[in-house]
Amino acid sequence: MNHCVTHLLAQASFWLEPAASTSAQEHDRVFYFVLYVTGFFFALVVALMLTFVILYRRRKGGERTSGPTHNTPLELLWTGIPLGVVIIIFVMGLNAYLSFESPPSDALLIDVEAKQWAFTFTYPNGATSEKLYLEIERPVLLQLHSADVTHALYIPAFRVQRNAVPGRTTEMWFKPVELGSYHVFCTQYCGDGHSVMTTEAVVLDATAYSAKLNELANIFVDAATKQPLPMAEVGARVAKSSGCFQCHSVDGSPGQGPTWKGLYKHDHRFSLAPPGYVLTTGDDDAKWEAYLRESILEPGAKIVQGYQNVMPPYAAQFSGTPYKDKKLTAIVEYIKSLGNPGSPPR
Amino acid sequence: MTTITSQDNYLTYTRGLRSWLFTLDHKRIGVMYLVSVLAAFLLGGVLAMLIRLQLLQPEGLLFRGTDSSVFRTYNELFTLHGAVMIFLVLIPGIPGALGNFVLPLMLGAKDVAFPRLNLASYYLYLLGAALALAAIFLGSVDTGWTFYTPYSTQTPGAVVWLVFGAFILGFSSIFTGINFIVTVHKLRPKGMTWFRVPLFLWGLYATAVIQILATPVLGITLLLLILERMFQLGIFNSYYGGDPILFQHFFWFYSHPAVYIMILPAMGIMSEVIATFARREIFGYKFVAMSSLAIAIIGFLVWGHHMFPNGQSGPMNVIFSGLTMLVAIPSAIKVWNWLATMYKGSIALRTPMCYALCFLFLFPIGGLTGLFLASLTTNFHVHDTYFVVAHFHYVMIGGTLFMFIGGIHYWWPKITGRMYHEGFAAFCCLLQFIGFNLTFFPQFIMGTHGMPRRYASYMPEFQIYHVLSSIGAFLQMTALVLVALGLAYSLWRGRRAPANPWGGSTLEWECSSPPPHDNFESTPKVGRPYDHSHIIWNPAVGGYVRKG
Ligand code: HEC
Ligand SMILES: [Cu+2]
Ligand SMILES: [Cu+2]
Repeated sequence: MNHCVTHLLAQASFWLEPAASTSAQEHDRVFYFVLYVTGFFFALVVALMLTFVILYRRRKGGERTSGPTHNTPLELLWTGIPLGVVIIIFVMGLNAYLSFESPPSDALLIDVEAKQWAFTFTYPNGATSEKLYLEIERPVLLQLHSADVTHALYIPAFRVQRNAVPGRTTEMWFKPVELGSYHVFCTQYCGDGHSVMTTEAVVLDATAYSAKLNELANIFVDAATKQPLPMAEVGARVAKSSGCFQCHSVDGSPGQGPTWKGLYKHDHRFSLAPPGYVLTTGDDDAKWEAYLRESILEPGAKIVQGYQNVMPPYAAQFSGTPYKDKKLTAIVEYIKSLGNPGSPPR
Repeated sequence: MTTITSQDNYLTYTRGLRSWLFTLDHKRIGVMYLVSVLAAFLLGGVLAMLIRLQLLQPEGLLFRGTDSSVFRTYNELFTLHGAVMIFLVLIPGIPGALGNFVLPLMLGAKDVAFPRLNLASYYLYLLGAALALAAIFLGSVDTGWTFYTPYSTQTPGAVVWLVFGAFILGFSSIFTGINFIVTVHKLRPKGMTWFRVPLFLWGLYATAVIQILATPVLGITLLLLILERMFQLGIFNSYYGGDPILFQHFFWFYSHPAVYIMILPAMGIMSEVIATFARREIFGYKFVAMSSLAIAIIGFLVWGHHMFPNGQSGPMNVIFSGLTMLVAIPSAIKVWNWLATMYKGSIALRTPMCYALCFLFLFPIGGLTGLFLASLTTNFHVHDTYFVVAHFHYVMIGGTLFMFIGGIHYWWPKITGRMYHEGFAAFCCLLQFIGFNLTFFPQFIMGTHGMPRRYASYMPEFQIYHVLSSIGAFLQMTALVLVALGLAYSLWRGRRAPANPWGGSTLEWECSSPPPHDNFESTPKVGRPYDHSHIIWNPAVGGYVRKG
């Protein structure tokens, strides 16, 4: 954050922040061209207007006017010149746009999920993060999708912007060329938290970048001490980054989903469950763990009484690979750690 | 010249509330529109002040806190500000108020073609406004005036009320459009060929064409939105199999042409004011008239420029970018012709002319910055930032609203029969010009530095621009209040207006100020418009009279 501010103050120009990607360099060329051309025409209009107002101001008794009332060649001229100018501007804009639309084949693929009100970036090695980590001089292709309403990802320093539209995947690519960290904004209005749906894009050099991705991938190890972290602690982080706390609380406060406080080993009632299925304090750990895994991977299988079947299934996130499975185990450990079977049923 | 005593005019013709509520007189309907639009404008302005107050501080001045739900009220404010300004002020403003008053007068006619339809249009306006305002009390709306799905089908609140209000307002707009088209076709006096129609009427005519062709699309879109919200049909919401981009296409198919519904009448006023105060025939009349139609037609083919980064296909982006560039040309033609009209004129800097000069300064900024948005390369940077906010305020306020107020001053003597104080009104215009630029110019800079629009809180480095912008906004509000006070004062103390105070050459200046109930005793003769040679100053009347 602070970094961003100093970065801006140090090098900002009147109109644009320093260009930090190849697309930004292309953009700035077009931008300044359009700025100078339109600036020229604006100055011309204002100059003519002021000249005429002064030169031809009404004088006493001077109500008689002369001057032509039409002139077709002149009309054609001042239709033709602006037409030529906008055609040039159009072609310039098109050129750069065509390169924006054709990502290089060696671009690093990063998946972007937009959700009220945060972005989650997933890298090819499975690591996820809330900030966007990028490698300098390495083109990236972002694939955007949305989990709820329409959002947009905008990085001013790179001059790129693309919407994340529910029901489809959109793409954009760029190549960062300056180290540093830059603002990332959501620019499509998406509700209460629209203006806090911001994060940072961090551009690192090649070594720092691969170290960062490894660190992000290995959520089971403490980055500083290199010691394995307790599973429940990892689970808390996974739950947070997966957005579980939009519906679940851990302090007993109500939400769209049941609170996780004291959930473990308490008598359950279901509004929907296979006939004869019961889950009580007395059931053993294995049965409880199986239940928790199922409620996360396939929440519709059993519905807790008093709640709607609105929780999305998480099978894609937490099953299929040993790594994903380990994350699920971590969440389950975390939920277990929040229960204390001694206390009275809620 | 017909001279009628001041007792006998449209204001005093009949008395009592009922005589206003059930009036079929286009002039009274125009006045009722004017009062209602100005009331809506006041509301929109107050909302803008609250928005600018909130943005004085990066974390928000009015609504702040760690939980983002505190921002909902801010989101409701900008939604309502946009909806009120667009649907209740800018779209009906000039046609409903000034158009209704002036159009039949300019034709030398007694009224519009369908006076009852005219009154119906006004009552639909009131009904639409009432529904929209009811939404404030029934849960409010935080979708933005664009109602983008799927957010608008999910968020709690009174979305259906506001949307239905906009739907009704659409009919009001269509009624006005039909009326104006038929009136211009059928009620032109003898001798007024198409190329002798005053340019304000060309502007209103082109506007009416857009109103009746585009507004039904908005109506259908809004109904579908209501159905989607109530029954989850799966039209616009991908979760049920619909497509959010489809909504954006439908919405902008109306809402881009709506930009021209707002600007074309203002351009019409420009032509009238410049011709009168430069005492010149409009330069290139046919080009100015035809460019209005060109704008109306090309304006239908550019809506996709609102959706460049939104997931629309690449070829569509290219086509829409090209067409958008084209729509700049007719506007440019108008600007050159206005300048050429001033060349070798006899320019009197009366208040309406001051507003016209402001327009000639502000509208080019609005229009030329549109090229940054039309170019595919630069759009991807400034899209949905404050650059866009500044761009459309330069067009809609710097263009439309400045000329609405300029037009009110221009026709004020005709409407009320009173002269306002010239020096004070011109001073207010200057104040407004300064306030306007202070408000919106910093927004261009914020935008190119990456400040997104519709943010209730922001990064601290943008604060300086926001503070400047807010100061400008407060200045503008002050100026507008002064304008209102000045005009109100003239009703009470203003000098009585002559029939033709400015030396205007169009027919509305032939009847007395204020006009009698039937406008003209006999249909006036018409020649070339904007021929000022026979209109001369008469010190005895304190106004201009026709020679001979
Ligand atoms: C959209 C809201 C929502 C989100 C997000 C959500 N859940 Fe749920 N969750 C619910 C609801 C509602 C229920 C109760 C209905 C049911 O049983 O499916 C529930 C039930 C559960 C249960 C069973 C609770 C019990 O009392 O037996 C578990 C465990 C659970 N969720 C875990 C998770 C995890 C882990 C995540 C994040 C990866 C998550 N949920 C995200 C809404 C949500
Ligand atoms: Cu957003
Ligand atoms: Cu548009």
